Amino acid sequence: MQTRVSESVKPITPEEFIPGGIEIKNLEVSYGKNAVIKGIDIVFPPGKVTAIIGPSGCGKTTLLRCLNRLSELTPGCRVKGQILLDGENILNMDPMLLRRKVGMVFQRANPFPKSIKENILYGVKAIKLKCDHDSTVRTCLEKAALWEEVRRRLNESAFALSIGQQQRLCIARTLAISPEVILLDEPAAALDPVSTGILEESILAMKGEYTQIIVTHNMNEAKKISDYIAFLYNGKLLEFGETEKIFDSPEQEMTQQYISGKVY
Amino acid sequence: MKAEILTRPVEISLVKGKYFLLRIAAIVAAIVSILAIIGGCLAIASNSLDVYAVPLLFTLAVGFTILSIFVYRLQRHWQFSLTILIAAALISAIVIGFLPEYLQGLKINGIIHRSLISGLLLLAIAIPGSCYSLFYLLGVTPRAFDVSRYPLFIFFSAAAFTAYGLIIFHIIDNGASQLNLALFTKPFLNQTKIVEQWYNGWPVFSSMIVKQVGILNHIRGTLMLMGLTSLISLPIGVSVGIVMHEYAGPRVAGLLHFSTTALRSISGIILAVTAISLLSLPDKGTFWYNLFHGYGTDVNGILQVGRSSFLFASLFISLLVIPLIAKATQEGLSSLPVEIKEGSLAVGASKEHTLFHVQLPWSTPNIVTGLMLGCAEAAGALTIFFLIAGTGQFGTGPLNETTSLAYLIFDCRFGPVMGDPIQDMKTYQYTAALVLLVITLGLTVAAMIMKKNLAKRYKGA
Repeated sequence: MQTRVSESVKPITPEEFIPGGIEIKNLEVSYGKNAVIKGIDIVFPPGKVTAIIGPSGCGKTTLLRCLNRLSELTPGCRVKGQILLDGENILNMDPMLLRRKVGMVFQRANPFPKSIKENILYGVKAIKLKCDHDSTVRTCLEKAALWEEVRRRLNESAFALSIGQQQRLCIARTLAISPEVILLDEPAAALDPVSTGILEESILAMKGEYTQIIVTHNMNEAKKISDYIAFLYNGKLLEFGETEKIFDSPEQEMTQQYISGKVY
Repeated sequence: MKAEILTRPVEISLVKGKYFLLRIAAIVAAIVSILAIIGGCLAIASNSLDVYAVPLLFTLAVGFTILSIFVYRLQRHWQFSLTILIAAALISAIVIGFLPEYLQGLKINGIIHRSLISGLLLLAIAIPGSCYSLFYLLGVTPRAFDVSRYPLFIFFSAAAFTAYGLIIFHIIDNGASQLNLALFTKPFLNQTKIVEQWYNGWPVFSSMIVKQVGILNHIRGTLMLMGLTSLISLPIGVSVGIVMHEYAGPRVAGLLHFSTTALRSISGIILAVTAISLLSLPDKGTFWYNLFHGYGTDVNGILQVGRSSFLFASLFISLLVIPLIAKATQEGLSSLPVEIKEGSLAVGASKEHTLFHVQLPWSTPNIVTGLMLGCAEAAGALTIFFLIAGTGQFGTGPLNETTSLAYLIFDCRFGPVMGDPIQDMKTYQYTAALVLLVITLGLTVAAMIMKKNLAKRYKGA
């Protein structure tokens, strides 16, 4: 257990163990000759929300996509180092088994061209998970704060929903295969303030149950929902710590400048 | 000059003095131009209506003169283009008046009727003329300047539609008069039957010609060809499309892309020659010979080997259809947003599950369209059938001799294969064309409806 806890995270006893802790050791990612992530060591504590912040092009999304190995789909992408999920190196795992444990919500809402119900049951059917379909749909939609809005039109096309609702549907879809970790890649980037608010509420409600890692450009959002913050700059981890600490007294000057909007 | 006009926009008024007269002049010029365009089209199409060209051109000249006089009164400036048009109209009227009825020589091997030239001249003068009259009709504004260019391209699409309309009308006009139910219920027959009779205890053989007019076997043959071609080319085409988009590396994908494009551009007659040489490979009387050539029993119960079987012909048409379906599949697959594919992979679905449950359903409308186009190709393919099709009077199973409506139309006209061509069938060539038209148009309409429904079902759009 000791290896998964860094100095900035409070130690947890074995009784409190929640699955879903991710530890990254000396991760290097490059596209062809272009190194995007240049050696990162980081621990994402289980059951907490960690926000990854940093200027555009610093490797946030690449880091996130490495965690469920979607980065492999990009031609020419090479990953070196270790990513440990509950102590197991995911780079040696079967990517399909890994993605059952690590769900992902994308920047643009991407529901399947199917009905709302089928969207949620898609993952369940794809990995042949045995569960009660109706109750799964209901619990997932309730957790994503969408049940009340769509309970009467579960068989309608998912494209008929608003973008905000579609994004919450994507969260519900991810929850259906009961992952340990949820990756959120700027989920609120295309949403209006009201939808963003509801989305943030559901992220906060899922805290404790899932390890959540969120990439965001919005400092207020990061401050509101995250427990820990990782500041990436130019492919390197500049600072990692509890949210209050990062916002109140950051160690690095660069972090201070970025948070106050001086570095782009 | 254009800029000058545009800097002095005229307020549109229907009642005020000179503008009112300008509009009347423009209306007159526009009406005469449209009449001239119609007259020109008719003259080209009919090859005989050249008598109207000279008076029409003179009327055009008068109309444009009135228009340019009013434009001068309005702007104190002669509209140069209109002046050229007037001069062109007058000169062409005189030229056409003096032309002989038929032109010969002039390095062109053939005879050109005077109406062709008069029609072209009418169009060349009336189309810009209609643009100008529309311009002054709308009131000399920048918007009018844009709108007045509409006749330039509307004319060509209208001409294309007219041409299609004329062709379809011609087929319906000639074909519908010969329609009768018996044609659709009887297969075509032209065989010699050996009849055995007994005279005083001795067998006497006499021959009897069995003739029957009908296109049932040709319709069945067309449908059989379409079905077999779809069966062969759909799985192969879709697989090639999937490999091209999903599995192949850039080099293999490029090679496949080139191959499919090259295969489409092969002339049908080259394929036909290949088919002929393949047909002559097996020895006569062997199993492969019969399989390639198609066989059936005639009225005497004797095995007859034809020119090529449906299976063989469908294989060759599939060579033209597979690239169509492969391209359509690839286009469908690449139109899926990459986020949706990644979303499927991100919930733990395998690549194959994603392919069959997300990507292929999404591209179904494209595949269906490709398939329908392929069926139309199979129904209408003629270049291959020149050399390998037959009458299909010995049955229309997959292993019988190939026939199709397209081949029947060719055969009715030039009839080398029906041997002693039945004169009765000649009258039905337009009926066969009409049936083929109905089948292919039906396919197109079905494709459009299916595409819409499938898009609604699988794309949620």
